[in-house]
Amino acid sequence: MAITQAFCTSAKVGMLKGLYDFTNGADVFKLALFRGQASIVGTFGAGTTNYSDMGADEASGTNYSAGGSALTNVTPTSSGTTAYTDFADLVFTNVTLTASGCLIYDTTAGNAAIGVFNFGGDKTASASDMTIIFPTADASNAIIRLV
Amino acid sequence: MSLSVGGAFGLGDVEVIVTNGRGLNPDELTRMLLPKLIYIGPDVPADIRAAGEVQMARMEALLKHYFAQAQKSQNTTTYNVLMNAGHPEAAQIVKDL
Repeated sequence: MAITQAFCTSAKVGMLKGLYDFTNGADVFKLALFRGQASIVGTFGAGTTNYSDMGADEASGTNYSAGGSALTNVTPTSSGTTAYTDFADLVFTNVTLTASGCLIYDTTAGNAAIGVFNFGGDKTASASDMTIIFPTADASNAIIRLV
Repeated sequence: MSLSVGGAFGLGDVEVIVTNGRGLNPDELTRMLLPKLIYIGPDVPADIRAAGEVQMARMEALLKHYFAQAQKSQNTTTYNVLMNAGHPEAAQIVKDL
């Protein structure tokens, strides 16, 4: 099926309910990888609500643990009228796997899905480092923005 | 009469780097780190932009140098650990990296 990059609708509701705290050291957010696009059977995007939705569509491989890896939160700030937050780049070290996207979710909030990301194609690592680089943390590019 | 407040949630794009049969090298680490240390906005006046770019170039050179040194120092440590553990052949491989 497909991975469509989106801010999960349930996360927007969660934001208004104050369910997530992106402050450094507060909620624990994780990033899990989707397997290769040809193998994806589910549909992921705005309608994704929880990490459990990934099921068998999560990537697997050497040195990759189910659930992915924890992110390091950068405390939210603002520029002009836009508020935004960021995460430190994440390295999956010495992995052998194929991934076509990723899911960021909040383990502190019952594994609630925050955002679905499409890599634009398969990324394959063979005994290599796979690094997820987050965009420049500013009002125009930051990974999560409230405009 | 209605009362509302406009706003929107935005999501940025992630980039993925995959090395080939190795870990990240000093060039790649520098490319990852530099934009987080110094950012020159699109509306910055030309003279300030020029000064910022000079500073960015200096930082880039320093980061590459020290990342490379960290790599060499770690190899030295690993070499000695392997030598002390009685694995001279493995130690030599690390030394030659």
